[in-house]
Amino acid sequence: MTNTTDPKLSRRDFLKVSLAGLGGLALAANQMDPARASSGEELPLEDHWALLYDATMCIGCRECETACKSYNKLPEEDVDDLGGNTFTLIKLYQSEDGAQKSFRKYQCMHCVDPACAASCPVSALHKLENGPVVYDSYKCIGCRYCMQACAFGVPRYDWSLAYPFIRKCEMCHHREAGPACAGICPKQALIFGKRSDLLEIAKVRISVNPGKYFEDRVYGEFEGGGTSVLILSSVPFEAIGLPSLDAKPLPDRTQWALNIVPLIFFGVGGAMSAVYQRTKNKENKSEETKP
Amino acid sequence: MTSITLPIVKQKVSLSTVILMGLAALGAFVALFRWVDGFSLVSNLSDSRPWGIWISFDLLVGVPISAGAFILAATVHIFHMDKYRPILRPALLTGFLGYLMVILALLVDLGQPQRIWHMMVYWNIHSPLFEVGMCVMTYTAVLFLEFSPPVLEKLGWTTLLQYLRKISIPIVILGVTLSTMHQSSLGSLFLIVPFKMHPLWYTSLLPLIFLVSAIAVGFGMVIFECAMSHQVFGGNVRRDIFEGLAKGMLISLSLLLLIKLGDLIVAGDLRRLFEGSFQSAMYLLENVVGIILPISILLIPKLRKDIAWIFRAALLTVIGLVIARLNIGLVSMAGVPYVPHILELAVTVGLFSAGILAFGYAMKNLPLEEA
Repeated sequence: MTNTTDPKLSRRDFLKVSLAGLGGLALAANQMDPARASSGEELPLEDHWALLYDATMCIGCRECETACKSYNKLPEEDVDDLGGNTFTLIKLYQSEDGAQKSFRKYQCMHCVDPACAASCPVSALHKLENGPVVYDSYKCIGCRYCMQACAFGVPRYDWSLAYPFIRKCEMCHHREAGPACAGICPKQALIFGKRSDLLEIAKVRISVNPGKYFEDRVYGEFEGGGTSVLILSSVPFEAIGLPSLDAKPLPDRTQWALNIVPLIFFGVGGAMSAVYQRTKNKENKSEETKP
Repeated sequence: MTSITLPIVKQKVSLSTVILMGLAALGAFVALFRWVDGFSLVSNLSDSRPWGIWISFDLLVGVPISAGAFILAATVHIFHMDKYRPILRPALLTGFLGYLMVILALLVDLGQPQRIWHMMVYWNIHSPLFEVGMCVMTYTAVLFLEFSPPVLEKLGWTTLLQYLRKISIPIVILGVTLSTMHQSSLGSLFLIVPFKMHPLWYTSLLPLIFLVSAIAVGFGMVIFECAMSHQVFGGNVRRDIFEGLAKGMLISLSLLLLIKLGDLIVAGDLRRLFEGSFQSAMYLLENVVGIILPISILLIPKLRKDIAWIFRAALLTVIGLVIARLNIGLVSMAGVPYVPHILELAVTVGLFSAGILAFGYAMKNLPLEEA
């Protein structure tokens, strides 16, 4: 389902969407300041690096996959899923009757509050101040809790190695022009920019094309506490493999249990000490009263 | 003095020892193979099943079945219930060996086992696994100290023994605290995967369920060990000790039943018990075997005083916990079907065998009956 084959999309609408996309791209390019992003300052969420993937504009050329492989120096391999050497992948989804088709780009969603980073016991995964969720392999102990915790199944393992590392998209955070995949997309199905700008572009696309996009909303604005990869689709999000998550960040579900840890430590410790004293005194007394 | 009808295995010890040694050697060989060649040939682990039997059994079962150590240490040293003193040392031994086996299993499972110490350097206080790791490491050290008196007695190092006695109470209290923390946070590990876990198992109360079931199975394991040592090592465990442990098990199992049932009712998931899926059948199984049957046995006054029935109730509790933890780790999780590779199982079985061998050796060679 691309723009050119969608009968519902008029030429005029197409121009509007394209202009919105181009405008957004120019806007984003102007306001994106790599120097500031790497300065160590905490950026507000709206300024985070982000990607907008519009599945309706994707033609499935897979240039993004090639660009990713080339920038990250990954070997070519014939796979149908993310993996140790595949950080992004375009898949085609088709409904059983073939009436509904959509592409979907798989990659790290760069969550606003990432479950992988919260779960990592050695802080090997963490979110940079400008948004990308990155991995310090030198810290990793290989527990694979991040793989368990990620709702999108993104962190992968290089199972062929005896001492494997986690492998995932890091949003080309060292690349000044932003992610290589977005830079190469010929249809602006994938654009790079500030999160707030991209949200605005996405909402413009929705408003000028009423009924075109699924539920008239952007996936990733709120899901799982929000993601930095935003997705527009004409088919239901679940149909292209996006999990339905509420707006509560996943790490929040663990937080209550972690918050009471000091309470348990001092509570149990204190209670045990008290019981010790009490029963000890009783024991002494009962021994004393014995003849 | 009792009516235990367990098979007498004393005569067969040498044969079973040979079998256990063979299994332990096979496990060690597979572990070695994993460290040299990796996971792909010896395991069915994959990107969509990053945690297999080594986590679901060796960690999730290994830790609670070693809970007898902290329960008895608290009972004897903190609650001053002196009648349990004769069985304290075997329980501490089981606990210490259990945690050693857990750590060995983790060294096989971790992708970078040589960096297990990283947890002490690169903290992440937002990770329940960090809490589990720190507690397991510290508590293993605590168990080492708690268990060392019989070894020091054997070696005749009385000065060190006296120093250890002076700090024994703070150490026991630390052990109980650390156990409460990590037995529950093993359950917290799964709070972050609501999207993957079947709703019969997923609840915010997972940490509490893990803690209470660990206490129940801790009592169960101590009963099990007492009965076994009674048979195998010719120990002479008093009847009132069995009855007291059975009471502890009954109370903790009843509490567990209330929590689990109450949670299902509040969440409105009661109807899922009968949804007829594989998962619902497994959920029913873990609760019937591990909670309802042992409670029913122990509620009958006549059986509650019969050591053979107390033993059966304990055995059911332990089996039920094994099913429950395997359910959490494997059955409740969405993803591609996973059945452990036969060589993955070989590691688990080998470690278990090594633990039993070490237990037998220590029972025979260390003064475990406290003077």
